[in-house]
Amino acid sequence: MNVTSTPSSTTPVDAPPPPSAAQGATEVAEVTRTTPLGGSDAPSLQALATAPRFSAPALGGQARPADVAAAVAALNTVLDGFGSMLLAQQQLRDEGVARGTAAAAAGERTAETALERQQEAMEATQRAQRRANRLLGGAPRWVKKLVAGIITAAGAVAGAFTGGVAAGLAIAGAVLILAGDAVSKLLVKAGVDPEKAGWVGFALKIVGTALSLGTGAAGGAASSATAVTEAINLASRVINVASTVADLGTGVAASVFTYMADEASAESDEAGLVLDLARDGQEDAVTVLEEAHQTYQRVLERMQSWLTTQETTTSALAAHLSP
Amino acid sequence: MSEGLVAVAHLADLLQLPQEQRDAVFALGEQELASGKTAQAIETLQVAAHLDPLNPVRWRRLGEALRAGGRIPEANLYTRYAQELAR
Repeated sequence: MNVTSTPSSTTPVDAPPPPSAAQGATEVAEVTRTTPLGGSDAPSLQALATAPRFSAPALGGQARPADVAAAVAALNTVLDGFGSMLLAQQQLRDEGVARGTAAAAAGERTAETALERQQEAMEATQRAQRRANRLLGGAPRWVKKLVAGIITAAGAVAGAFTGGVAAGLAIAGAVLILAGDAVSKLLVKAGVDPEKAGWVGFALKIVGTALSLGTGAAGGAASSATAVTEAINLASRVINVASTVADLGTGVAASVFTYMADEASAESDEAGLVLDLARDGQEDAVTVLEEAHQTYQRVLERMQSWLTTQETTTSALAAHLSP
Repeated sequence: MSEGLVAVAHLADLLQLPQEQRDAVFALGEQELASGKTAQAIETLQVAAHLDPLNPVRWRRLGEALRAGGRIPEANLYTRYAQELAR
């Protein structure tokens, strides 16, 4: 059998230190698609390693095989989630229940609860805005306004999120980070200047980062049947906003965003926090998420291939070095 | 919790991955870039940057991969962002 070791010719500045020879030789882990996200079971994966320790050069670049395995497992889970989310969105759309469900949920809330959530969302939005400002030091002015508008709109939506404001912000942030590149591609396809499209996608990532950091994990927090709809609707709204700005150009961007943010707040306050989203907006959101899904799928496949190469190399070396 | 709700929660949890796992994805991207697999490196480094959005090295290396792939405007964008993050 041909054995290929694949050391990198460059060393990333912040890459983890190379594994010790013993670690590289023994931490071969089995990967399943049911591993919970977050790597909490990484120790049990390592415990599966049974090969004897031996002295061998570091294999496969900078990452330890156990970490690669855990990352593959995590990406697997995320991809399962992607698929489930897209399926759920499709079902919701087909059945036409999204708006009805949200309206029913909104109707059950008291005005006092809604007010408290709006207050919490406003405070979270202000924190996110400060984070975003720090990240946007050299960005064009219209991008800063774009980010401010999106954060404001997202805050209004998060105030309506039945799983809680923090979870709403975290979910919205993650979706936005993932959607940024795909949105840029869509805009370029639509004829928008590539540099401007790049900034729009980039702005989505900045907003996503600002919203997500500090909110904590949202796992388990989405306890309502409307959570999926709300998260996707938020992505739809942001994508629509980004497209609108790109179409109109920088001069009109501020007023557009001010209007749309006000509109989102007004809907949240007056209409029981129900979002009124166009059907074509949801189509765009699905397209964007599918693009992100495909990218993650391809990266996952390469991670798995990399892991297999490392395992093969490890096994061959173990056989070679055994007495 | 329905599968769809779990899926959305997983998306948010992406940002909570242990550092070692984020590093593993980044290391693969570095390896692909070093071996001339530019298109693959761009994708992998994009995912790595998503997983670690406040790390300027992630964005800088993505910018360098994009530059290697001839996508200069995007490369300039991410390089500029990395510089801002590193301040």
